[in-house]
Amino acid sequence: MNDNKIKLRSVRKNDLELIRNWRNDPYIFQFNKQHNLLNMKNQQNWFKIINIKNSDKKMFIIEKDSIPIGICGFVNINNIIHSGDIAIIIGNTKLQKKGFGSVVLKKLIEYGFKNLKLNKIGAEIFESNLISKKFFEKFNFQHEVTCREALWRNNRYWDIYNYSLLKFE
Amino acid sequence: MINEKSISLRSLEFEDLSKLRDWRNMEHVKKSTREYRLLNMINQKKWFESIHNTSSNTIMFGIINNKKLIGVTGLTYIDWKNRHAEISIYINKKNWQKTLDAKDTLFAIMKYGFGELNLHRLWVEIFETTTENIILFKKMKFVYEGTSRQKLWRNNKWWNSQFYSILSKEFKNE
Repeated sequence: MNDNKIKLRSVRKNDLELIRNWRNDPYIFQFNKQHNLLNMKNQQNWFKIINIKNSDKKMFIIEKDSIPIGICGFVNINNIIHSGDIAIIIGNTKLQKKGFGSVVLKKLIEYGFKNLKLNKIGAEIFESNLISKKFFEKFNFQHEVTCREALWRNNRYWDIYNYSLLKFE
Repeated sequence: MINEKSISLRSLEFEDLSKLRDWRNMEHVKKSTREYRLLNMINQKKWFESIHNTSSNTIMFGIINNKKLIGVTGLTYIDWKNRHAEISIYINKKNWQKTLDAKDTLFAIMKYGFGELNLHRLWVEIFETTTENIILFKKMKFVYEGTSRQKLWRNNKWWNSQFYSILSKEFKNE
């Protein structure tokens, strides 16, 4: 896997339509808390939120060979206890499971601990998302909490797992 | 009024805020919360306004014993779609966790959350600064869900938090 092919850059206004389409893809939103389909109004509001000073979100567009293939970053950034949760979406579903996610996660972990000066990086994973479970475990994230029946989806409740990586790890 | 044996719950009024401020600044309450500031009336008024916003996901009550306000309880982070909420509780005297008032209050708030709001899961995050709360919630049959590392910086060191929850099907409304 060539790291140099994958680049993270800031989100631009003309990315919003592409991001909306990714996020409305049923294969993608099944693993997100999102329960409505997003329109451009939602996207513009979100764009405002990620650009305000001291926003609790720090998002990047993932580019492969200069073409946007997904979005990633940190949400729930807490500047008091210096924690934040990872979010990664490879929007081009044909490019999933090819190792791009690992390159992105490596970059994000470095960015989180060095640039955002986080002490703890978290990840929320749905019970149904076995791929994500393995993915974060590969990077030494520890399973901390199982929130029992905390998600209602497809007519039943599912557990949500909290994973985390501490700075000294 | 919501009555439950030794206690009742009533709505909070603006006039209660100075009492709440004093209690939240007491060491035995402060150590159990995420709050790192000492609170003043500006903080209190802002909080009171915020829980009355239409987008608010917080419902708070005053705890009454013998006609006196003795503490505060309620549900925060109410998630109407996934039907869960966090329980919040404190009482104005030290070691309140061992009292009958504490148990009756928790019972009342569970009855309200499950029986009235139709929630599915009530949860609580307890910092290990306050082991008294861990004992109380275990006694109320909450189930341990895991430990989140380094969630609070207090007294020059990191403290973990423990998560507990109870599901509607586990709650016996006797």
